[in-house]
Amino acid sequence: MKAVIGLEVHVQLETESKLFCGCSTDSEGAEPNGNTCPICLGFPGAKPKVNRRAVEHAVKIARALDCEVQPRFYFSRKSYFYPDMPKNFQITQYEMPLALGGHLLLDDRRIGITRVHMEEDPARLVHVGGSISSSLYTLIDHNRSGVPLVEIVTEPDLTSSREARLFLRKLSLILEHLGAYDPGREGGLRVDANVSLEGGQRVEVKNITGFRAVEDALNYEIIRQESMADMGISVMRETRHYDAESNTTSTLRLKEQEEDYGYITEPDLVRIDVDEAWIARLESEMPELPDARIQRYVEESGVPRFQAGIMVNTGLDLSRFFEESIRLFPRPGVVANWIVTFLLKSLNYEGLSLRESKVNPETFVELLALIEEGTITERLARELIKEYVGTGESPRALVERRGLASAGRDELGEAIGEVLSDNRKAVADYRAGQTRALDYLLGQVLRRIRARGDPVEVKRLIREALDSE
Amino acid sequence: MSDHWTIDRGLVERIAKVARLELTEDEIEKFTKQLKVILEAFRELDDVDTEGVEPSFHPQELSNVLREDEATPWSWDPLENTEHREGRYFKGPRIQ
Repeated sequence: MKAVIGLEVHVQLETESKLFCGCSTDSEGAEPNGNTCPICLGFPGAKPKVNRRAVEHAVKIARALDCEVQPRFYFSRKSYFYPDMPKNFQITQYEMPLALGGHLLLDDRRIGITRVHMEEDPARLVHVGGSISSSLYTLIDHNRSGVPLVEIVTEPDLTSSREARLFLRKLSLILEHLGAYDPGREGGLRVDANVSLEGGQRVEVKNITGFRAVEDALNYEIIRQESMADMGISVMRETRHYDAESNTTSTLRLKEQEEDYGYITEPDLVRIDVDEAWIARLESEMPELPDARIQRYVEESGVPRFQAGIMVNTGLDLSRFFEESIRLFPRPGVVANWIVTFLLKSLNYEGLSLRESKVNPETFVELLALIEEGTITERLARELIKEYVGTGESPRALVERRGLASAGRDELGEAIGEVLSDNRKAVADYRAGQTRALDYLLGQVLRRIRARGDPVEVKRLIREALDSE
Repeated sequence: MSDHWTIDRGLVERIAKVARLELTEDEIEKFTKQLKVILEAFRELDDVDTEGVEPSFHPQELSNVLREDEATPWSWDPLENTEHREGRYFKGPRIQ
């Protein structure tokens, strides 16, 4: 049976202050309810006022997804009763959202974007003494209340959990490029997924944080619906809650009808008009997006497309790392190859992200320069990069400290001379046409120089020495 | 949009449920009657000719009242007026 999946993606916009008030959005280390005011706690008479940067981020996101930004939009109140929202309504957008009708390309698949709108985040709840339904009471932290979110709603165009993950990864990458979203922020991307099997009722799965969890949650839900269908039980339209720890979903409530939310236009906020000039200015501020970046690496730097794709898709910090590296060491092909083949592998082995590691472009390109100038061999560099990624120590300093530089001409010449005079039988065998004798001599020389040399080059020098004897 | 909603007992019960109101039998009966009268009064609006009139969503004709993105902390104790607290948290009911 084919799965039909649509996503509602909530992304925290990167701003200094909340959507409708001047409270800080940076609550790391802040005490609970420390970043609050009468506006974000919804006190009677408090007057919200819209954050310009949040609107501008949202417009850019809409344009990056090729949505039609509406010339005029309003905010609405969505009424519901839940402890995370003391004023009993959430300020969101409903009838007249910011933008409609776009798409995102996933290779050759076109995933429709229904709408993009802005809304405020509700409070964070701590369920004391159990799960959501079995807890004794809730503790409420309003530092998150009023933090600006953008909600991106897709058409039900996704057909598998894997595709949903790829979609989110690409979406997150675009938002990161726009500077509208920080992928390092915990809970910065939250997803509700609508899932049905062809012909069945739609189930909404809430509370999925991060894109790996989306794949897990969808896998679980699809299998659950398939087994129900197998047993001849029909799937009910409902809202289910995803529990990441057990990787299961459970009934939260039978789905309210949209009209039960009693939407009204938010009377405390005036409408927002977005004219062509404003959109044009914001578009001119928009940076290069991931697909264009990959194309540029291929066309301007001659990097193979698959390597360009890996670098860009890994995240903006790796793209910047590559760009800075080729500025310092202008051989993009070599740099890309070393990043994709060796650096990422070593980071992976150490279980580090680029951000967490002590690796930086200045020291990374030292390694490449050391190879190029012949100080170390490529083979040695492949060993050293593991140590470099682990410790962050400058490769040049590392080579010096451990005396790993390749043997110089003089040292090499001396070693070859000694080996040839100590091994006359092998020399004679070589002259008699036994090529294996040359390998023996090579081994002896490499031992003497403690392998600090390129075997091919050393072999050439031995042959030269033999010929001129 | 004449008979999109008919006010009857079922609708009143549903509104009460969505609004988290517990109504007695008498109240349900009373409000059903009253809501019918109210809706009937609003039906008069259907007679107005609105051809060529822009729909109105908001009483204010203002637009684009925005604030710059600056963090301006509010100095207060948000918990001082509540007894429903635990440490620096507000305390709320468990989710039904």
